[in-house]
Amino acid sequence: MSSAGLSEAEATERTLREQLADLVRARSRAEREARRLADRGSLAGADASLEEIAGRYRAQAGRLGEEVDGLRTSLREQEARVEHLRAEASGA
Amino acid sequence: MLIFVLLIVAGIVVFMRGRDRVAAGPDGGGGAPSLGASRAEPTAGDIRALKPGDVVNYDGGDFIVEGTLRLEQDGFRWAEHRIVDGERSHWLSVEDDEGLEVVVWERTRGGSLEPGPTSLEHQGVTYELDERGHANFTAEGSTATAGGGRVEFADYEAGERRLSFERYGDEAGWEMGTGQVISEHILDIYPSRGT
Repeated sequence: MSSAGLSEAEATERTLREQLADLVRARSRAEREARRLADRGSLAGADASLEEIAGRYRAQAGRLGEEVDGLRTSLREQEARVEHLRAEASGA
Repeated sequence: MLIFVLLIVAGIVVFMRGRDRVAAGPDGGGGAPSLGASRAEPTAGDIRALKPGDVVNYDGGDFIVEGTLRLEQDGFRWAEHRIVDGERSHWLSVEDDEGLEVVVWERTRGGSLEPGPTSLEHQGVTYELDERGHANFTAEGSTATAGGGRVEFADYEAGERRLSFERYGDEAGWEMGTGQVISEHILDIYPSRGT
C-alpha cells in the first residue's frame, strides 16, 4: 500500500471524527431544546403544542443518537484500517 | 558489477529515507509534539490541542467542551476545559510538565476548607501541598469566569488524587475541586472542524 493510501485513510478518519463532533453537538442541542420545551409545557396554562414540539425534538435527538452510534462504528473500522496501513508502511 | 552494487546501495538509501519521512509525519519534519510515547499518531486528536466545540468521549459519555481556561505562570502553560454531557459536567485539566498529566475534576463551591496548611484532609484523604501561586488566565467559551485576569491557586495531591483551590480575583471566594489523574488513552477526541 502506498503512503498516499495511508494519508487518504488518515484523512478519512479525521473527517469521521469531525462529523462525530458535529452530530454530538446537534444531538445535544436537540436534547436541550426538548428539555426546555417540556419544562415550559409543564407550566400551568402552557400551550398544549409545546409538549408536541418537545416530542419532535426528542425524536430528532434519538435519530441523531443512532447516527452517532453508526458513525462511531465506522470510526472504529477506519481506525483498524489506518493501523493496518501504518503497520504495512513500517514494514511490520 | 560496481555499477550494479552502487545502484543497490542507492536504492536502500532512498528506501530508508522514505521510511523516515513516513515515521516523521506527512510534512517530513515531525510537526507538533506527539501525544506521548505510545500514541504518536495525530489522527486520534491531541488532548493538548483541545478547544471549545470539540467532543471528548469519556466514561460512556460524549462531553462537549463548552469552555476553556488557558493559564500561564512564568512561561509554564496549562489548560482547564469545562466539559458537559447533558446533566453531567466536569473540568478536565491538561498539563504537560515533565510528562502529560490529565485530571478529571469535580468542582465544589462553598467548601469549608481553605488552602494554607501543608497538608489537608478531605473526605478521608490526606493531601499534601504541591504548589501555591498566581497565574494569568484567558477564557474561551463558557467558563463562568471573566474573559481574562489573574487567578490564585493552591494545589494539593495524594497519589493520583488531587485537591485544588482557585480564586479568580481578590474579592472572590475559593473554589475547591477534587480530581483524579487519568490516562489520556481512555479519552477519545472528536475535534471540531477547522483544526
